[in-house]
Amino acid sequence: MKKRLKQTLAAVGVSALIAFGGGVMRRPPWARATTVILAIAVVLSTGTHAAAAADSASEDTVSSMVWTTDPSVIEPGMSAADASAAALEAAGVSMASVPAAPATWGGCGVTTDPLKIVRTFPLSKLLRCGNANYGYWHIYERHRANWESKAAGTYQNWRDVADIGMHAALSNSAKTTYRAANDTNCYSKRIYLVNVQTGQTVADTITRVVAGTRSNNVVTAFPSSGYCTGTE
Amino acid sequence: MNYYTLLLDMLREIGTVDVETADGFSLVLPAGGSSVRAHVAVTESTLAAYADTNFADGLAALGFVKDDATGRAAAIGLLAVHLEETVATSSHAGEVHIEVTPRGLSITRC
Repeated sequence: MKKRLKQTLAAVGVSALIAFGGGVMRRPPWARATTVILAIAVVLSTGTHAAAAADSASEDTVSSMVWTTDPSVIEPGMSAADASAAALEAAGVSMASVPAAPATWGGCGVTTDPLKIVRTFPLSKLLRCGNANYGYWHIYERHRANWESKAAGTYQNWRDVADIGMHAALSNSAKTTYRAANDTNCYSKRIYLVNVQTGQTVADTITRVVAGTRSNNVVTAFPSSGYCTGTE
Repeated sequence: MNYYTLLLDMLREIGTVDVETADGFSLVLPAGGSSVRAHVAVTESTLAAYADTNFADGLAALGFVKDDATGRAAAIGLLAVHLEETVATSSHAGEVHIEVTPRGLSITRC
């Protein structure tokens, strides 16, 4: 749509040029050159402003919803990008734990060593690349759709939302249960969906993380309607 | 090691296990004010095969569960986690039918 708008405005500009071209031709050469240059500048400026307007319109349509552990860090009217950054900070995501890869949880290819560490969480819990049975690839295969349903319509992608939820659960769990029979712990914490423009909380979900007690490896993490089950 | 008993012990720590037979059981987990019931079809021989297939992943993910260096107890431990998350992410209103195979879970949601 942005391209079509630019093309339309460019056509209008050219038409305007042609329309008063007759008048320009009757002027002295220096005046003709000046007029043409001015006309071109108008067309370019109009196109630029149109593109900016189109960009602005695109930004208006970018979601203003952000998941966070603490709705109070979202100031009404702040940009979605700033809100997302504030949400990461509120969840305790330190830049030291963020890998150099450009995307959240980047670096797990199909042939990557399953033991490669993707992220270090609080309580020294490790998210490794893993495979279908544990770690990043297990979360990808079993719960990407669950997380994507939470991320839909927000400024964040599914990895961002899961990352925030997991940091929240592992740094400040609302309910932790220990499963002695398989040496695992379950951690759970509620996170909130906030409308950045209004500052209002519009939804919430509970993140559950299951990790090995001895190994500290994250087996899985998923959004849930309830806290961890079992004995605290 | 009786894998069936081990699995039931693990699941009893997170929910209610009933209707037990040699071919399966029911697992009921609380879910946000209500509960979800899962019918799990599994036998001892299937679990033994599952443990044989997944012992390496069990060791990598959980370590020496039950001080078992073979990783087979850890494999069953992983299965318990997978059953929990399958049931926990199911619809509140429906039931879930799960068949355990040596390679993983076959899930039918009602």
